Amino acid sequence: MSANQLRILIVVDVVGALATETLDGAVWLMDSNKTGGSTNEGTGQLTTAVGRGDQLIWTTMSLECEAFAAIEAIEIDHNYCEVTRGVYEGTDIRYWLGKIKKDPGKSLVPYNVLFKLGSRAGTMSLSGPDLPAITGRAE
Amino acid sequence: MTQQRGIVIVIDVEAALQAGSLEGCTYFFDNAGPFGTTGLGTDKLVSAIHGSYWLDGSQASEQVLNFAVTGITSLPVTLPRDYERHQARQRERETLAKIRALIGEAGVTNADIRKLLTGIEMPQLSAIRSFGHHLKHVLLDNLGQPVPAGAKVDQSSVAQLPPTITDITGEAVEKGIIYPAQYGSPDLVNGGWYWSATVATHSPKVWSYTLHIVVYRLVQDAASQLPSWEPVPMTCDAWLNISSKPVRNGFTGGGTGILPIGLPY
Repeated sequence: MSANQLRILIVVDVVGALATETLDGAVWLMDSNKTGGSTNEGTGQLTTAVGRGDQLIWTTMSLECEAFAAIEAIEIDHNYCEVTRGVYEGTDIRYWLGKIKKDPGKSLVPYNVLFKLGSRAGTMSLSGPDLPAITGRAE
Repeated sequence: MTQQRGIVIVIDVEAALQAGSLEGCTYFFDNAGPFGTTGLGTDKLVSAIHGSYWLDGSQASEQVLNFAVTGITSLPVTLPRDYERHQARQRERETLAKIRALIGEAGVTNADIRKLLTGIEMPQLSAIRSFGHHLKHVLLDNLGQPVPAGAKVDQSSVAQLPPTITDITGEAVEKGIIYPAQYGSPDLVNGGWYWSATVATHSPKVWSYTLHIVVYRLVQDAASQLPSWEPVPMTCDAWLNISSKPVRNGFTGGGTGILPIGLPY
């Protein structure tokens, strides 16, 4: 099993989230590992199949190109995944980089995503219990 | 004019190339979820379009659709499409600055200069093939950094060339329900181009349309010098559910009348 770079794209309905004051029904996640066993693609409960040493790269996009969306934090068990924030050189566009330290095996390791949306002060986060997660790749 | 609808199409390019089809590898979204759009996050998007009529049944206003397509492994759409040029230029500037810094330095030898010159990192070029032509393009990795020339290219670490919409056809176009066209845009995010369509909202029905999308396959042929992006044309369908439900004013929840702005007197 070799280490891979996996991309996770989070689509946000910024206007919808700001209008209803919740991210429920306004966030969808997709990753590049559907063929490697990821499930719940295109939902708020994406489960990404990972292995030790894999790198995860999270980025976000707004449904309306005029609306600002950025990932402020990814909250995940650091025993499994260590996350750091980066920016694309020469811009202020962020990515979040995660390194898988421990293979989750059969267990689900859920994580939360905090967003900065539009000109709203403060962050908005996903509400559980249905959160995105990482899990081990099926052998 | 009612709120414009943004339709976002996210493609799992690797899966689509593997399957030879966009089916099951495409995720559609629009910003009309609260108005009854179904299939968000799937390849079966039915966008809710509320008709807009005068009392005599004639059409009151059209709906505008804007389309944006991206790949899961493409660079973020918020980066300019020519970001690779910016990154290549940045490397050149850094190299030139290092060479320039040697000017006036006492004790600089030819060996120092030679060392600097041999240390110049060239970015890996690729060729984008299209209609018999090709265009050289700097390969960027998933974090937007140029891939060093000559290094073995690990496909999972290369940012995919973004897919492109080339046409919109199908029932809704043939029957004159939507009028699609590609427009120039001052926003360079999409290379200055985007697809848009106006919808005649007078005929309530579920109408289908077909998006023609080119995805690119990165081919590393041992015989050729450059890795190249081969265009692979594909299509996928989506739907518009035009209903006779009234258009709502997003501010008041009522009909589309005068906006709730206080009068200056």
